[in-house]
Amino acid sequence: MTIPLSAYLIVAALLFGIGIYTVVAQRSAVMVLMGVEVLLNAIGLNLIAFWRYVHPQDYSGQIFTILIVTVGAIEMAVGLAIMMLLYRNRQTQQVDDYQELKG
Amino acid sequence: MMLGETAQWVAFILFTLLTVLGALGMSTTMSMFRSGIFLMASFIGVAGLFILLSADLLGLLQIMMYIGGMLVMILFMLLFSMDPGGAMMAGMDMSPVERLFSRGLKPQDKGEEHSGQDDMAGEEDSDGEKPHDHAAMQHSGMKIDGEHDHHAMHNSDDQEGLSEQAQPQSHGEMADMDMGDEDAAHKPHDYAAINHSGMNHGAAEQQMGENHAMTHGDAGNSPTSGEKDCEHGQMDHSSMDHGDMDMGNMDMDMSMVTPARPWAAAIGIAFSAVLVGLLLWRPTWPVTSAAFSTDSPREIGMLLMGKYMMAFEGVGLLILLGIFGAVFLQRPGSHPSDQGREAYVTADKNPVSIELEPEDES
Repeated sequence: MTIPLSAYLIVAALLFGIGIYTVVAQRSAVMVLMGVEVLLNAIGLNLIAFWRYVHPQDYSGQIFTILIVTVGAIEMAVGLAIMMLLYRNRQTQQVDDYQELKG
Repeated sequence: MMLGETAQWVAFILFTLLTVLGALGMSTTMSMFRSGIFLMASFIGVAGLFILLSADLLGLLQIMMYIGGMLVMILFMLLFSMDPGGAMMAGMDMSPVERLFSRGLKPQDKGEEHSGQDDMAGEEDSDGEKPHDHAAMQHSGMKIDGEHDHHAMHNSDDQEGLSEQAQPQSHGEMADMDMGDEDAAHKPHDYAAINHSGMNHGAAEQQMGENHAMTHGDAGNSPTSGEKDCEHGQMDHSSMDHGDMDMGNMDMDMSMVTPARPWAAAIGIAFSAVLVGLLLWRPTWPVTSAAFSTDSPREIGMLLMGKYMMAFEGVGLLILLGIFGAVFLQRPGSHPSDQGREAYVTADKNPVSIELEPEDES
């Protein structure tokens, strides 16, 4: 416990900022998904840090992180399937070409 | 925690650097394969931080699921991207961070980029009135093409559009950049796209001079030669039809990030700054140093099977739905060529009956 809680939270904040930059700035859909993964990592790091420092007896924090990882895996599978479908229809992966998808 | 204080700090700093630099490199490098590797470094760093936080099971889960599962999927999907190696974009407008993380992307990056820029400058000087400069520039571009054709990049649109210089080397990396310039000389339309989004957002950083040079040069160019608009135009109509975001094909190839990159960087930095500021503003949570059970997998298993059983089942159902959804999306009928196959099959059935009819008549 020598490392303060804020150190982990700052790392998670930096990760979150980088993830947001990636999601907004990248043009390829795969890179956007990578940015989402970084965002999920930041959230998981926050949860684990709070679990460890605030309620180490209650393992619910780890449960939440496991659920986040699982949902991230599902999101990745479905997202990549959608991307594959779009790629087969449009022959491109750039999200700029998917603009007609907006309602 | 059996580690001593200094060991903890060393491990923390190491994993933090791995995590943050990995994520930064993932976000800023021009090569998508490289960004996958950077993402793996970031995952490993986060797993190390988990283990340092004595969440051992989650660290292992992180490595197994993220690296073993998702990253393989990501790297597989990267194979379908236009330029997975980032070879084309390597010489483009890059901020210093991007330069750092995509350093060494191609061995002769600097020299060629400079030659390219010099060509642009030369074009700017004399372009409007001397068409043979184009020829010179084409030659330089083709030379550059020939130098590295090992970075494979299948850009069929470019090959079609540029069939007059049609070459096997359009696999080359700088090939497309140089062809782009030279194309732009002929096609004001495409060129505008390049200038607007491909290059201008880098102008703020270090290439102000060159970009201006290019802008002027091609502004001078565009009236003289607009004869080949059609070639690229018709290819990109499907993607250009929506409003003001019409990017030419070249532009799409040339930059991996959207023109909103400065805004995105501002948003990201603002988010980080706000979060860190909030942390520093209110740094005290009721931190307890209570002893806890080290048998975390057992505890987690008990919780998953007891208190959080519904969430566990729900996530299991979600996984099932995700698998079904992915398979459903990938079902063969959704492939465009499959409709052609069905039509072929039906057309294959019908002629049989048609063929039978004459036999009946005869």
